[in-house]
Amino acid sequence: MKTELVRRMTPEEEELAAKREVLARLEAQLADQELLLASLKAELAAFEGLYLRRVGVLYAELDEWNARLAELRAKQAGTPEAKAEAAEARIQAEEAYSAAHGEAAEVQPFTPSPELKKLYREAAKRVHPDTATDEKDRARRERLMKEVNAAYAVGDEDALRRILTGLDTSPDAVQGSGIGADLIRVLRQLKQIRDRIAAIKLEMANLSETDLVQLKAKAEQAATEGRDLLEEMAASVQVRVIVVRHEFEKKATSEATR
Amino acid sequence: MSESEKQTALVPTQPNALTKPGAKSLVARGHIELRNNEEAEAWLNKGLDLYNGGGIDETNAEVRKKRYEDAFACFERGIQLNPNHPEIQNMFGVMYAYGQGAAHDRTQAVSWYHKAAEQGYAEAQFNLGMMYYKGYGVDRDKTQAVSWLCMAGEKGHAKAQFNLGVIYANGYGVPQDKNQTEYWYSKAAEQGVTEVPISELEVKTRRMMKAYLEFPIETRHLAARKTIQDY
Repeated sequence: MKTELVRRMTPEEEELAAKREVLARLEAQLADQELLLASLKAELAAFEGLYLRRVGVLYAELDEWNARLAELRAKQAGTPEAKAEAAEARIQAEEAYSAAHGEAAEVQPFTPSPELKKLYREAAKRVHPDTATDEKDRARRERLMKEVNAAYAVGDEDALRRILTGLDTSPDAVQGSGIGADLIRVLRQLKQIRDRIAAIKLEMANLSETDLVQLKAKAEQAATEGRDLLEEMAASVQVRVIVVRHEFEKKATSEATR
Repeated sequence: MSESEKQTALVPTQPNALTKPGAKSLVARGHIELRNNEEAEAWLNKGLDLYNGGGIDETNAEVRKKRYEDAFACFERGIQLNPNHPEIQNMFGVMYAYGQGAAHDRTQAVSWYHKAAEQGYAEAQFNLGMMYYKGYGVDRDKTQAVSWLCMAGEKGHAKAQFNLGVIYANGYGVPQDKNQTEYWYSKAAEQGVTEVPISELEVKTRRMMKAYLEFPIETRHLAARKTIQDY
C-alpha cells in the first residue's frame, strides 16, 4: 500500500482555500443576480416599446392637434400670451413625437431562451468587472460586460458564444506573489462582489417604484381579468384626440371662410 | 414600427430631431392619468350612491337636498382628477338640469352634456338630444336633436331608440318615415322598451298631458300609449 505524504496546510493557506470557496459561490450568485437584473430591464424595455407604440403615439397625436389649435388661436388673437402658449404647445408636440417614435418605441417583446440565459450566466461569471484584480483588468472587464449585457438584451446567442470563446485564449487572473497577496486579492474581490450584489438589489428595488414597472404590473393584473389595459388607455386618449381634432377643424374652416 | 404604422403616424408640421429621452415622460403621463382616473371613478361611484340613495320616494326634502349637495361635491372631486370623464360630465348636466345640488341652469346642463356627448357617451348624447328637442338651455333644434338621438340609438340607448321611433312616426322635425319608425321601435323593443308603464304615467301625468297635447290630433290615440319618454 502506497502512502502519500500530505503536507498540512498553513493557516493562511486554509483561509485562502476557504475564501476561494466563498468567492466561487458568490460569483455564481452574482451571475444569477445580473441575469435577473438584465432580464428585468429587457422585459421593461419591451413593455415600454409596446406602450409607446399603442398609447404613446396617441399622446403625440393629441399634443399635435393641441399645438395646431394653439397656433391657430395665436394667429387669430395675435397676443403675446397666445403666441407663447402656441410655442410651448409646439415644443410639447415635438417632444412627444420624438419620444413616441424614437428608439425606445422599436423594442420588440423579450423572450429569452434557456440557452440564452445559460450563456449569459456563464459569460457574466467569466467577465464580471467586480471579479477584477486590478484597474486595467477591471476596465477590460467593464467593456466586455457591456457587450454581454447588450447581446443579452437583443437575444444574440452567437455574440455571447463569441465573447466566451474569445476569453479562452486570453490570460486569466493575474498570478499573485505569495499567499498573503493572493489572500488580499481574494478579499478585495469578495468585497467588490458583495457590494455589487447589494447594488443590484437596490437597483431592482428602485426600478419597482418606477411608473413603468407599476404600469406593467397593472397591465398584467388586468390581463388576468381578461382586460387589455393598454387598449383601454389608448381608447381614452383616442377619444380626446378626436375631440381636439374636431375643434381644430371647426376653427380652421371658420377661419378660412372669414 | 411597421411601414404601415409609420405612414399613419401623425407627423408634426415642423419635425425636430430632439434627442431627449422623453419615453419616460410619456409613460409617466399615462400612469398618472390612469391613477387619477381610478380615483375619479371612485368619486363618481360615491356620488352615484348618494344620488341614487333614497330614490324619488325620499320624502324628507331636507335630507334629499343634503344628499344631492354631497353627491355634487363628490362629482366635483372626480372631475378635478379626470376633467374628461364622460359619466361625471353627464351627471353635472343632470344635476344642473334638475337643480339638484346646484342651481337650476339649463344652459350649463347643455354645456356639460355636450362635453360628454362629443366623447361618444350615449347617455349624454340622449340627454343632449332631448335638450335640443325641447329647446331647454339651447335653441330648439329638432334636426340636431335627431342627430344626437341617432348617435345614442346606434350605440344601443333604448330610450333614444324609442323616442326616435315616436319622432319618425309623427314626423317631428323629420319627414315621416315608416321604415325608420319600424327600425327604431324594434330596436327599442329588443331591449324591452315598448311603452310607458301605467304607474310611471300616473307620476308623470302633468308632463304626459302636455306631451299628449303636442301631438297632432290624428295620432293622439297612439300618444296615450306611446309618448316621448322623459329622462
